[in-house]
Amino acid sequence: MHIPDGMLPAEVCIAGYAGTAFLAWLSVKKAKSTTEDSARVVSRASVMAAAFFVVSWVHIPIPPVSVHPVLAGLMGILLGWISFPAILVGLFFQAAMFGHGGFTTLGVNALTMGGAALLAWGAFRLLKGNEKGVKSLIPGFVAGLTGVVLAVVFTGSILILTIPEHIDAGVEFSSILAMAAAHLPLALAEGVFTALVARFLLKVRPDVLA
Amino acid sequence: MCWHEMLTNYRMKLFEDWDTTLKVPSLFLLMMSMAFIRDQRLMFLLPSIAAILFTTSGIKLSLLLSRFRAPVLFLLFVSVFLILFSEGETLFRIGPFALKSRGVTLALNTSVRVLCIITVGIVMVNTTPLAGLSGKLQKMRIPKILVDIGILTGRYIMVIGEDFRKMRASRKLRGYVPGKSISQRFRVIVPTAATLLLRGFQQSEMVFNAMHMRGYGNTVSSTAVSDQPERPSRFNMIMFFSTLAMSAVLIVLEVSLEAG
Repeated sequence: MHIPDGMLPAEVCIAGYAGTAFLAWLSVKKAKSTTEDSARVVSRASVMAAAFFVVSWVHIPIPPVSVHPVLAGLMGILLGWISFPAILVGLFFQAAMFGHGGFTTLGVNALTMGGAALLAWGAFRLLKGNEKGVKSLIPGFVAGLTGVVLAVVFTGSILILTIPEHIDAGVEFSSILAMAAAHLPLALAEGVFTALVARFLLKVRPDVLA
Repeated sequence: MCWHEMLTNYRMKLFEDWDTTLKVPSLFLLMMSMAFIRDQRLMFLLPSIAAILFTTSGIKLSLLLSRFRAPVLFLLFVSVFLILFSEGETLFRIGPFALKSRGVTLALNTSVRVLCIITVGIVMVNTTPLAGLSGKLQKMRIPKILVDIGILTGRYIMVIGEDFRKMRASRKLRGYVPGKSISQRFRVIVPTAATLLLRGFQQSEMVFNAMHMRGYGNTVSSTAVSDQPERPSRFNMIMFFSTLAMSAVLIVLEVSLEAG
């Protein structure tokens, strides 16, 4: 789901970096305004960035491609605003250590994945209430599902709208849909996983949720 | 040590000696200018530049090829899409599929660009020494919070993998074996992952506090950011300006060919 180097025109890469710089600045500013303990912010972001990096080693074959867990939703609900810089760092490590994504496309990739994480966190906060039983799983499920689906749709849209110069609009739209459909099993699995982890953490340590 | 090894080590050292604060921005700019190239007539320049940098860096070919694995799969996917769905003249047909000439050109250009930029990226990363990197990143105006997250993430990647291995082993010893059904697997995996995260949060807070107590980010050491700007050596300036010149040539040629 990461866009490699060379796929996007330089103008799009520069715009991606500009957007990422703004969102990273905003995230750090918002995170600092909500907590004074910078050690806590940095340490949590690092653990989640490391987890984000490690899960990309897990490959799930969905022919003709293979996908890997994203954890955007989980990062959003655990880190809130700081999920964006954490994803940015995780993506940098993935690009540097095994060539997932790239350096010129780091800004764009951070925007698609980090933006999805922030929106997933927003969805979680909107839906979170005092429900019991199965209903208590809904906010986490929606966050996990949203994290993957939005990341795929953002990535697919950028790829298809920027690379090919003379491609039929109908084919472009169908391709975005096909890409999202290929990731649907992963989105559902991440939805269930995020829901169960969120419920577990709400029971054991509710203070760790953003 | 044979002459080939000596030559490789010398070339590695050449790139490692190149100051990170000059090397990273100039190679990054080169990668961006390569991404700027769209004209087919300039495509031959990209492999030439990438080949020069790769051979002078002394990086092993096996490392380069191993880093190509992930993007090549993606590239194949995009190439097939471009070849089949581009508009224009049909080269030939295979059953219901029509291979378009414009699509083939686009796919070739994209492949060259992707592989060359990745090569430059590999040279940049693999010739950058880790010692004193945090200070140099701050010198390059990377925000301190991002540098801190990066340093701690680097340390934590190994720890989280090791913790996961230990927890899996102890879980097995206590008889918690994941079943075949998805719900059984989730019942075992979810508490393990959540506990791992909680433990990770606690451990990393301790590690971060310990790093600060030992002076991380507070003292000025030989590797930390200095208030006195250092004068770059002649070698550094030559490397820096020659890389900038390559970027400039690429951009100027692309703009002039586009205008013409």
